[in-house]
Amino acid sequence: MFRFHYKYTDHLKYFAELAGMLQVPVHNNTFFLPPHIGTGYVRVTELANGLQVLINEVTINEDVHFIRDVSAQNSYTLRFDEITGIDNLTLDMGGNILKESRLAYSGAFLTNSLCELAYTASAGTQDRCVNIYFTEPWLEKNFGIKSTDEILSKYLSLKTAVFNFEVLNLEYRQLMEDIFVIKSEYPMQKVIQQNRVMLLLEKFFKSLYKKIDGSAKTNVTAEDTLKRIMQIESLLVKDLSQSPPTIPLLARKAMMSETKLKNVFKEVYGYNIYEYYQKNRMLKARQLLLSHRYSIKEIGLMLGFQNLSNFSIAYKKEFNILPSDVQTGVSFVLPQIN
Amino acid sequence: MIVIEINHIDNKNLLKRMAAVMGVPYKNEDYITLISPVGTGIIKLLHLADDLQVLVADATFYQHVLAKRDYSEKRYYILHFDDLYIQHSATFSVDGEKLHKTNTRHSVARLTSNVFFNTEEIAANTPFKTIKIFFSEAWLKKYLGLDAAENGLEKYVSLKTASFDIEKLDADYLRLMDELWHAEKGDTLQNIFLQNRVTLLMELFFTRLTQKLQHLHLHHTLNESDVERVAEVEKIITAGYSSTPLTIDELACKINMSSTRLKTNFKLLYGDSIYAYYQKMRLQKARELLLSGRYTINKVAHAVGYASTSNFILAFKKQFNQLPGQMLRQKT
Repeated sequence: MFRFHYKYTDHLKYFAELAGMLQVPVHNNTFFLPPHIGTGYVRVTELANGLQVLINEVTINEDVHFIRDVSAQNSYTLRFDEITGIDNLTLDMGGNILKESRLAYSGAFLTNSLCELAYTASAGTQDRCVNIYFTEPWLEKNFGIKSTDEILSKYLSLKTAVFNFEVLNLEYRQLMEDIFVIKSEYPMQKVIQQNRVMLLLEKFFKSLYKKIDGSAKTNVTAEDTLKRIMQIESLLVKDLSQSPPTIPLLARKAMMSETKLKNVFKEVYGYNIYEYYQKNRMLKARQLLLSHRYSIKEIGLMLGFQNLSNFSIAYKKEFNILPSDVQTGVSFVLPQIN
Repeated sequence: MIVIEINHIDNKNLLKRMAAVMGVPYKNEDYITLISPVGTGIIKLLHLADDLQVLVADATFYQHVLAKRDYSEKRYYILHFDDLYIQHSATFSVDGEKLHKTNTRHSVARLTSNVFFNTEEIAANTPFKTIKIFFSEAWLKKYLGLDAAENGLEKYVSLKTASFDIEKLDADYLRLMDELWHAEKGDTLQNIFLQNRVTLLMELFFTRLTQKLQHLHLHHTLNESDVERVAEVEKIITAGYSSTPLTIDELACKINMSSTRLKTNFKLLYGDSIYAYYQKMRLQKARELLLSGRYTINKVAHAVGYASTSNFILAFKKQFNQLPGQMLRQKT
């Protein structure tokens, strides 16, 4: 097992410490995992506005255990994870424990430097993560939120998973996707990257305030229901090359009526079940296209399109650009946040 | 006539100076309200983090207005997003070169620099919406990673008034501009909401501009007359939406250009094919009409040329990811 015990610090220092511990070289603020630990990269970036962003896309070959000690640094970390291939995942946030054994988890949570954090993940787990670091003065200057802010303090002191973990809907994941695919040679990468990170923050805080303010009807979705819905979501997007499971089947799995499943799903993820499936498929297509490792035809087949022109039409409908145009030049779709 | 001088040295007091010149009360440093006999509407100054200053206005002056911007040693830029319904006339000048427009909707994004002396002269009773973002050369480098010389911006600025028609305000711009007016007041997150919309506007403008400059540079396909003629087509198709639009052949005929060249050039200038552009613009118009709260969904559908309301609803959803009804409920 790989064990990393560290004191809460900013991302630049954390990155250097982790690279040192793994004994791997760093190039362009990026390192690759050594083969015995896993595959994939970890990258750190400092944005022009002072935010520090840690990005990783990794698959681990060994169980890992991370323990973070508190510090008096007065800072925050907000992390967005898309985790798949889970056998066993435990997250302990100052005594607030989230245990996952279902296949996939995607969520966001905010902690400050006074919160203990530990997590364990089993070999085979894949994690794609955008982790944002900012200080109290930064938050006050940019968001006008003081560390003594009532809602923020309340959030940080809450110990219920429903409140602490924000479900990642498609808007979040599209923003994350942009952050992953953007290359340093792309002309406008600086502003695009910063804008996506800032929109992640905006969206997260907006939702946090809405939840805690009590103006939103969050109580409708009880913790148990939410967990089951998340389970359904992971089933739905597990294999995008196959036709999606039918709604009656999903309803049975969720132990809910079809009507309830449909309503709750839409409330949590913002789209109808099939709409959501289709959008995920297109998001995956975009990710594969921009990796420049597959032909359009291969991608179409990987995503279960028998007919290539149907694929092109569906893609164009979603992103307003044909897959063939994506291959010649990178194009970022302006995000729409409702 | 009202004469307003804009410079970069004293932006903090810009509203105060404007209020003094116009003779309207100055109550706080966030906004001024125009009153009769000066005009009607609001001019706001947004103070954002990251040293961005933004002037936002949605107003109509009852008097002739002249805005001047002098040149100076230190290089500054203003990114303008102007949406003017010119009923009489408006004259823009850059370094003595003049562009005169009459009776048209002037709806463009453009970048000016204070290497030149700039003026904007607008006749009385012209309704306008504008967003002006002020930033320095260093800011451009730091936040956008753009170098004015290397990335062709100097060349763009040196086109003077010819640069005006390069980037039209399409539905994406108009949506973001609109959102700036819909930030919830008193909301804790208002600042960040505004800041993100402003930087998205910049992302959009500079992304498209750098792409276009590459095209213009590489192909030399467009001369000034081409730009003017294609702009004429844009004017025709966005003039009204209630009747069936002209076919591409008919449009091409009107401006004496082959359909193929029209299609290519239109896409080069506006980033979309003619029909996609028309579609975006009429849905944008529909959104405006709906948000005004004065028309039913049915009425709006007809106003923008849909015979069937359900087709309209589907198209709206496709464009804005939201049903018209949902949008209206969210607003209230």
